[in-house]
Amino acid sequence: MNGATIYKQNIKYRIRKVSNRYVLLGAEKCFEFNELANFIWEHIDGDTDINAIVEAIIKDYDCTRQVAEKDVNELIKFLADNGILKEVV
Amino acid sequence: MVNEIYFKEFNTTIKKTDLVKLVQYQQEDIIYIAGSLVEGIGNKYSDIDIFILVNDFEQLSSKDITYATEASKTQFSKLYSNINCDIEYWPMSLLEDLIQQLDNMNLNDLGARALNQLKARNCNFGEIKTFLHRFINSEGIYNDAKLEMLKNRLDKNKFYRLAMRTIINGGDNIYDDVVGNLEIGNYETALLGARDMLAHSISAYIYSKGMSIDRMKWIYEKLRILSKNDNEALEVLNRFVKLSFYSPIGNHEELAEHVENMLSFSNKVIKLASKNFGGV
Repeated sequence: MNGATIYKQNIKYRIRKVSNRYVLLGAEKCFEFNELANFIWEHIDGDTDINAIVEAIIKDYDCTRQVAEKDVNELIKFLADNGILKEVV
Repeated sequence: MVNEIYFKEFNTTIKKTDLVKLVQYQQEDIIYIAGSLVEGIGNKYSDIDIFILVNDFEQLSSKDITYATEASKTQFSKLYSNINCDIEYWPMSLLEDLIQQLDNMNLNDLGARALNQLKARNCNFGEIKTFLHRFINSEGIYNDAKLEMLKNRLDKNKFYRLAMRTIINGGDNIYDDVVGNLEIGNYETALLGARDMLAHSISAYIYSKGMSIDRMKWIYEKLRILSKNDNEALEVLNRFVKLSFYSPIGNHEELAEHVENMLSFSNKVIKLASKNFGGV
C-alpha cells in the first residue's frame, strides 16, 4: 500500500448511522466507526487515492500529515485485511 | 367550510353530504376520506376510501359490513352508481392510543426493536403505518374541526422517523440476500432484489422529507412530487429512474455491475435520509 493506491468499498458492506453512531454492516459482521473512520470510508470510492484522503483529513480536521497518514493507513489496513475494501487495479 | 370536493379523475364534484349518507355514524364520530385520489395520485378506476373514527366501536351495527376484524370493519358501496367506495370503521380509541404512544416514544432507545415501538391490539406494524398514513393524508367530511385537532396532536415527525427506520431495516434484510445471489451467479434474482432494496431506500427517503407513503408502488409519484421544489430530491429521482427503468439483460458481467450500482445508490439514498433525521 502506498499513497497512490486506490481502494473501493466491498459492496457487501454498508454504513448506517443509527442515532449518532456509525455502524458498518455486512457479511454477518458489524463494526462501530467513529466520525473520522466514517469520513475515511466515504472517501473510499474507487477513484480517490490514499494521498487525497490524507489531504482531505488535514483540511477538514486541522491535524498534521503524520497523524492523518497514520489514521488512514491503520484503518485501511484493517478494512482491507478483513475483506471490507478491495484494491483497484 | 368546503362542502364539495372536485375529483378531476372522475370529472365530478362530490358533495360531502352524499359521502356521509353512505356510512353509519354517531354525532361525535369523525368521517374523512383518504387514499390515492385525495393524495392526487389516483386515476379514474381508483376507489374513494372513506374512514369513520367511531367512538363506540363495539356498538357498531354489523348491517352492511362485508368483513370485520377485531381492529376494523369494512363495507363497500357505490356513489352516484359509478364511483366505488371502500368504507372502513376504526375505533377512535386506537388513534388516541397511537398518539399517546408516539408522545411517549424514545427513538434514541437502540435497545427497542423498531417494529415493537408502536403497537396496537390486533394490528401489525404495517397496518398501523397504513392507518396513520391515511389519517395524516386525509380530508375531513364530517366533524372536520375535530379531525384537524387530532392531526395536530399526532407527532408526525416521530412517526415518519419510526417508519423510515423500519423500512431501512427491511431493506437491509434484502441487501444481504442480493449480495448472496450475486456471489452464486443468480444475477437476475439479484437484480429483482436490488430493485426491491432501492424501492425501500426511496421510500425511507420520502419519509425523511416529511412525506408519508403507503405502498412501494407510489415511490415514483411521491418522489416526483417532492422533486418539484427540492433539487436534492430531483437528483435522487433522476438517478432512480436511470437505475430502475433501464437494466442490461443477458450480459451477466454488466448485470452484476448494474446490481452493485443499485446497491451503492441505495446506500447513498439511505445516507441522505438518515441525515435528514440525524440518524436512522
